[in-house]
Amino acid sequence: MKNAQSILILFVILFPWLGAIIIVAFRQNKEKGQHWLASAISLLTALAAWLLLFFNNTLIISIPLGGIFGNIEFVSDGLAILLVIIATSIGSLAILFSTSYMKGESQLSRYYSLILLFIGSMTGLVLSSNIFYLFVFWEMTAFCSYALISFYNDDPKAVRGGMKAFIITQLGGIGLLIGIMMIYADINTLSIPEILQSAATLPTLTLQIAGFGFLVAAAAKSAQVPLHTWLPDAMEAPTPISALIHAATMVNAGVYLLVRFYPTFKAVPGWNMTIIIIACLTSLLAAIMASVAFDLKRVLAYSTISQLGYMVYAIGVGGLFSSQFHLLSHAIFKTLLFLSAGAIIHSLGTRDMRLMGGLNKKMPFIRNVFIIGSLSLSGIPFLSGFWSKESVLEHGLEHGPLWAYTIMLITAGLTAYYTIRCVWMVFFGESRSHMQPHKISSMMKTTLTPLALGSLTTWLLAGPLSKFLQSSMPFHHFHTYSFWEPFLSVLTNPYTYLTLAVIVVAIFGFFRVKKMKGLIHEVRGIIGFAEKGLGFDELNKVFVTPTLWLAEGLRYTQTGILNWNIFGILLGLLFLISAVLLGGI
Amino acid sequence: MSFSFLDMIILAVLCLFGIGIYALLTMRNLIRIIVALQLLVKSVILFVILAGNITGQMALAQSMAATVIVADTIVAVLGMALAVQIKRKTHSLDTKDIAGLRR
Amino acid sequence: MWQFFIVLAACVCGLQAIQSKKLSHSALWLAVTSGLVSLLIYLLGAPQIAVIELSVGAGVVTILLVFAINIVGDEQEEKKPLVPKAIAILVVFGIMILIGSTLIPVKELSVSISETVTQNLSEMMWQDRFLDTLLQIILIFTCVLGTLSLMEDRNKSKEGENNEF
Repeated sequence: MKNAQSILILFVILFPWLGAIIIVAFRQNKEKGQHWLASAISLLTALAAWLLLFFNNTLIISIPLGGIFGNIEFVSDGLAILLVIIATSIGSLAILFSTSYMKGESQLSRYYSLILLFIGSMTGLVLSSNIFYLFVFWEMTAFCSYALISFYNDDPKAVRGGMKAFIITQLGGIGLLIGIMMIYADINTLSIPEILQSAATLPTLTLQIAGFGFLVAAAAKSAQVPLHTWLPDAMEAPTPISALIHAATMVNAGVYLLVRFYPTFKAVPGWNMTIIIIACLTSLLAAIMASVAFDLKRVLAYSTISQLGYMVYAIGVGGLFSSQFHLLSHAIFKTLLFLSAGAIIHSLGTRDMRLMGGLNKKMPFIRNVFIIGSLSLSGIPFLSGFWSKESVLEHGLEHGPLWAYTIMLITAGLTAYYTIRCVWMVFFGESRSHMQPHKISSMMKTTLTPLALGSLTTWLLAGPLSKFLQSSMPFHHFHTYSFWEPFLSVLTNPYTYLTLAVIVVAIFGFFRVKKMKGLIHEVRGIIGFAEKGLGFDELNKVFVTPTLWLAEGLRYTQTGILNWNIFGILLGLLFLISAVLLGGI
Repeated sequence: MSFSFLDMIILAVLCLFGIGIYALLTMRNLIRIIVALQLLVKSVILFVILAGNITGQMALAQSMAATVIVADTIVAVLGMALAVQIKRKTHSLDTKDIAGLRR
Repeated sequence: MWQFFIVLAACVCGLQAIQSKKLSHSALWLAVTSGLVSLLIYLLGAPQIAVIELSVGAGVVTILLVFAINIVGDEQEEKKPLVPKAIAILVVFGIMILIGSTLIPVKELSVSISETVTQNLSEMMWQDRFLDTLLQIILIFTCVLGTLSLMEDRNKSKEGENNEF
């Protein structure tokens, strides 16, 4: 039994990489072969991930690499398996969607190999039990994200978006590395269970620096304020990539990092409060920016940032199970929304919502699944988004400060507002342009259906999920619920109805907005400011511009001439020999 | 100062190494660079054999030297094949002319 | 004392190898240097390696160099070096002095010539370092395949195809 489980764990990580190599090596001119090869590889990986559910024990695989490299360790506990299943299943759905979305594009081998490389790195990140290799996989996902954002590399906007995403997530990587080094210097181990066990013995300074370092890394990766500006610009990527990487998997890596190390840092003074402040600010600001954006994918990007704020808020108040439950339902409905947005953009050829409208009759299937996704996002009862969002808010009310709960409540209302604005502008009303959509291919419909069904039904898994998470993770404290308990507790909580009331007010507010022209004229200045990203872009230019300038300047040292390269090597040799002579290495 | 055999071999190693490095730094023709690499590796082989002699582990030193000879010959062969292809593509063997990847 | 002249001759031939104007002369000086170095190796007490070094260095590499020079064309002039000569000489002498100073403790030991080397070498290669030897054989095959694929001339093969019609 043990052997099969370890083979499955290694399979889930290595098979996508093998697939990536195969796709690049057997680069064919036949497009169909590449589509089907990539789909087959990702489906097999997803199957292996689902099979991992059936093993009852958490297994630690340790592969010694000798000497300073330590051991590569993988552990398959509840948290890891949840994220592995999400990553591989949504990955395979995104690849299936791409077989129809990317029909006729060039350089498909590069596209598919990068997606498969990303899936393998993501599963390696969550399964990793050695913190240094977690960092290695973290960097690999950052690279794949950059390469896929700038996939259309003759479009300067895409390249700029990719560079920005790379630089900002690398800043987070520095925070992670500093945290790792501080911890290693004190307890001389890189293995995560050992770190979690000896949390109490670490000196306070180490815990503080490491805690905030990890927080910076998580904020950069999960697009929290002020490091959130890369995510809207990353929408230049092809839409299946936006669905996979920037909605369902990579941005969850930051949340995963915080949850994984929560027992170590929860006692650090100020850590919890910082998380709550960042999360509330993020959710509110992102919801405001989503309410005024006109690009369909940008609205969804801001929505993602806002919902990630919910997950981080849940961690800050100690509701680890709520955050994972919201992660699960968010992954499903956000992918659904992104992929249907992709179908709309593909058939109309534009991303601007001001040019859409009246698609109600012309694209009935997409309208249905998009509405299911939006209902789930807004928190309308009996869809999975409702249960998970209420769970987060409830936990926040019990354990967190009241002002934070109020902000999150207002954000829930704003979420409903911008969602219905989006749905209305795209589907209803008069057609604002003369664009005719063409038919949706059956592959797109096949991919969207399981996601819609998931949005409708995933909430049933809440109880078993909580038991699964608690039973396999000894250091964390997850609340466990029986099957009906979460739903009963949500329904009997009076504050749930408060949230519903806010949502209803927001929806009515949208329909009355035309009557409030006077008010809108007053806040016109703020709306213009919000459209430009509330000034955060200017702040980020402070980081991005000097880095690019320095990189351009240093390019003069790379002459490309063999003799100068040899000169560099010899200088290194001189330095090494002097070090040996002077210090005795 | 009396020179022992040891001193002379060390001198030979140092001189050949120095000649090889100087040639690598200043020569512009690719074939000359391959010749310089060969000289460099000869000095290393000589030094490995010397080390084997001094410490008495001649068999180990000889097998290491054999490995180094094989590796260096392979490098020379592949280097020459690459030089021929470069000459065909860019019609020049100068190191300045083949730095074409630089924007 | 006569060994000193062999060492001196090896250094002079090495210098000539890199300094000669014609490439084919360069290859010949390299062959002579190989021979002298292999003589030094024999004097140090490693006859098998001396033979291998002679046959490979003065044989295989020289022939291959001559082939390559034939295909590529014998270039006669040497242009101005890209790294200034002063910097190059500085670096070279710096490295030589540094390595020399690392080697000073070695002078305490003395040189001895040991017998019964033959049996130990084959035992060593095929038992103790079997993996190493196996890898070298694989490497040689890879090198042959690599060279064959590298030497393929894409233009000629396309012309050949066109001529069939």
